[in-house]
Amino acid sequence: MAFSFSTLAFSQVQTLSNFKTTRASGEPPAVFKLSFEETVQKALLEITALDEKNKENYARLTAYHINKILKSGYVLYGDPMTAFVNKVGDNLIKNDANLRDKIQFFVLKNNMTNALCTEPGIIFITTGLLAQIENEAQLAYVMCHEIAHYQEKHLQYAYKEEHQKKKSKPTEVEAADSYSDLVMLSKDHEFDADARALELYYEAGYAVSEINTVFDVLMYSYLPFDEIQIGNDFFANDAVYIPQSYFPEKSNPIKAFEDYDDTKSTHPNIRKRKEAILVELKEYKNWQENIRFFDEIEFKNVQNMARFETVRENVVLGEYIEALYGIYILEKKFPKNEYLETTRAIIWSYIAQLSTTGSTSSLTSNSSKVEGNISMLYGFFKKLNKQELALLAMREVEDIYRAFPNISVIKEVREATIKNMAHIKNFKLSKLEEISYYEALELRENKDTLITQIDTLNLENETKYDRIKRMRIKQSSSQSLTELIDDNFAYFLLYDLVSADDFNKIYNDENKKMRNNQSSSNTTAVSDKERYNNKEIILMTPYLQASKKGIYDVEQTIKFNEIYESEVRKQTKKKNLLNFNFELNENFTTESYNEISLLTDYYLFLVNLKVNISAATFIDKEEFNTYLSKHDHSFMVFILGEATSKSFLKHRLKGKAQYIDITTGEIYLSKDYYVNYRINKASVGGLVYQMFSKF
Amino acid sequence: MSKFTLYIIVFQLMLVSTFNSFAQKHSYFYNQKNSFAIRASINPRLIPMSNNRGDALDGGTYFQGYDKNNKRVRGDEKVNLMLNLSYGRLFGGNKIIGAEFNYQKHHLTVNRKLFVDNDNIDPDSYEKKGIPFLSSSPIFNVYDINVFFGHFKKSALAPSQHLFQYGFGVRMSSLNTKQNYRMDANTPITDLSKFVEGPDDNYLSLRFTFSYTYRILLTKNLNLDLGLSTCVGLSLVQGGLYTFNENEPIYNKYYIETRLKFENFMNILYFRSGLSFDF
Repeated sequence: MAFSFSTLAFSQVQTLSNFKTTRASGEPPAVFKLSFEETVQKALLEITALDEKNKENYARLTAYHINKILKSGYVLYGDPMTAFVNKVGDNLIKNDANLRDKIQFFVLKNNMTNALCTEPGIIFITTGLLAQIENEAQLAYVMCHEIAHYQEKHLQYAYKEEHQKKKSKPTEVEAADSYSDLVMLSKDHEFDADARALELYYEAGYAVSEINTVFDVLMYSYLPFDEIQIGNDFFANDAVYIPQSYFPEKSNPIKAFEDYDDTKSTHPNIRKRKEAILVELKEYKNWQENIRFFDEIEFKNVQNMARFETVRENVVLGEYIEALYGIYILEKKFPKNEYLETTRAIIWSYIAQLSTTGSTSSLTSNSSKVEGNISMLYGFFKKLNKQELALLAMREVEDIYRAFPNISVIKEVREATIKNMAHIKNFKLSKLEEISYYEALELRENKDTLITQIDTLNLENETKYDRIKRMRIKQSSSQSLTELIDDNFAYFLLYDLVSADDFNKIYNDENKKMRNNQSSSNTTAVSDKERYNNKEIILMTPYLQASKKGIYDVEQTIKFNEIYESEVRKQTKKKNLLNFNFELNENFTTESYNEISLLTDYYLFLVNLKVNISAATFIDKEEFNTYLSKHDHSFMVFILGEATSKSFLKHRLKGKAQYIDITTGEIYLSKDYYVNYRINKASVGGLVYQMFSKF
Repeated sequence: MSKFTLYIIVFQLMLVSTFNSFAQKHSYFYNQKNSFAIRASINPRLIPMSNNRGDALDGGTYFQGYDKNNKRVRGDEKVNLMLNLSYGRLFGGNKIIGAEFNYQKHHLTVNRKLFVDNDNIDPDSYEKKGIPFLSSSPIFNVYDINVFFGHFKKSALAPSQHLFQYGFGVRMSSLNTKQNYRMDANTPITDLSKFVEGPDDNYLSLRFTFSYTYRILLTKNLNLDLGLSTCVGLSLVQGGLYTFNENEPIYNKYYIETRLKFENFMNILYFRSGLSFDF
């Protein structure tokens, strides 16, 4: 039965001026509440292209993966994006109620530009795709393509072909190490889906012109969601001098082209697809010209929301320059947006931390591969030395703080960034100038004239401001020795901050604290027993995978998960533990689901964070604090397990766990678990036992 | 449209990162640091078997005794059977230290042709005039106490799968006195000192062992052990030849001592199997 979002669409109206990350809302669709076996049964009803034995295997394979995705916390429902996608879907298949009932559309929070069709009739559209496409018609074409895959049972045929290939030439089969390889569709399927998609697209009445653009969207999808030049306004403060010589002379060229070699890929290249579509197009006459059937504002809102999500995911994944560029693009449309500015402050504070405690090269590690305008930014950041980076970050955070002095997160970020300055190596505040670079330039150029003017001033009538002016001119001309060259620009960045009381107080306090710490570094080590005993824990959904002779083995993977679950249940009796996996399987609620989403984000944020967590601010801090105020959990536990089987006698099962201290954000890694046993109660139980033995 | 499952990418991201690690502490399979094993070992007596062809009384695999009806029965001890009990304590991640207690019942064995005084040759017929040897073979209780050090292969958490052990210990042999020892079917031996010289004596020897055990996991605590053990007795004494003198005990002390030491030395290879319980 199709799930209708129409009533939910308005329950979560979100304007971008008070954007918060999108979470699921309202009553969960039935498919989220299905157990693994129920999903298998549902999938079985849909399978017509396979024989009995393959049918069962295929259903289990699909059910396992669809359950994983649905319960990952990343699939949205009841939100404006999913509501819009469903509206477009309703319109596309309005003439086929039966088909509409079988298909469900969801938006998946992920930066890849992609759509995915799985059994039983579930189609995912990523936020990455929504951020890239330009209008409703393009979205409609992508959806038509996915619907065509579903109608034509391409996945089932792909599975069958893969299976037959394995049977006939077992030694020649390339190792398919994941579900993605198993469901990789052939070139024929892609051409077929394109052709079938046309039919639906045409019937719906969309404009033919947009089809070609969809392929361009796909081809350039590795670039940011827009291409704009970096201007001076990238840095918020006009009074600040940023040397142009720090930017590369030109951006890296965009290299993507349509006719790439696809002989080794299962997918045809874009040129071939475009050509094939052109042939198909000849069969259709009298195209309508609709780019949209729904209000453009609604599409734009969805697109922008997806773009906000893209920025957010980039922050979570540690892609700070990508995120800054995304914000720069979005701020052209949403100037002074609170969410974007807060995010920008957070990113700059990470960059500041990187310059003192981390490795700044991690910021620009892939700069040579970056194409288009964003490469200018990569070049710029690469050119900055650590001290310049720290001072520039301070400047940016300060400017954001001045624009939003009442936002607590920004205030906190500012304080952390000031404190960070005390940790800059070989640096003293006295190095900093109290006038801006431009002022210094002006003053020095006019020094002689000004000194003459001062000398002729009637000192009796001198005002307070005259005196300040005189002092500063003298400072600039005599005390300030900083040469006015580009390499020294950073010394002028904090001209208006360096003598501010609160700045100095925070800086000096941190300095003092640092010196005290150095002289008495007697931090008491906490024992494992103290750290873990009797602590409440949250067990995240594990990542367990089995393979046989290098090929992903779904049956064993499912067995691995099943035994894992039963072993965890034994532990649950003893431990104070909340198991999200079970929680969602047994009593799925939107609240729990969103908590998983939040905690997974927090986890991803931590593992991708390139700086010390103690001074870093989580992007969803407020939401996270609300979570903390409601729950009393101390640790998140995430278990990874891998079972490999090389022959009848050669088995290996290994695993490890990460323990995340929720309040401090520290991540601890378990000792490795590794045994040479096949997947069974004892071997998987051993993994679970070891991972929980600390609590 | 390409068909990637996106969650895989999401989760792969989780794998790439650096973390704080715990204070280094060894981990064990189910945190099992104690291992108790009960096994049986079989030692094929290859060298004595090759001696069966000879004429002398010594060094074969045959033994003889008398049943309840005092009827002479003969056996062929081609293998030694040994029972092992051991306890080990794990440490240092994959190492184990412990003690092993072994027991085996051992016959002093003889050749198929049970004659003594073979050198006595009839001057007329030039035939050997050996005297049929009818007395019981003495049975010894053999106890081993070994201390061992071992290690599990590092490729998996201990205790599991491949175990290598090095042992050193004392082997004690003493006459099993509760047997129906007889000179022949009609003559019981009432005075054991006429049967063996020093019937209460203990014979000691030292042994080094090296063992390999492959452990097949049955349950999380229980393993089926299959193994191989080689033993090297410290004594290199060649077995003394049997000499028969009337009015002296049938087995003299020198003979027993050298035979036991020799057999101890020659029983090199043991195949072991049993169960070990880890906790």
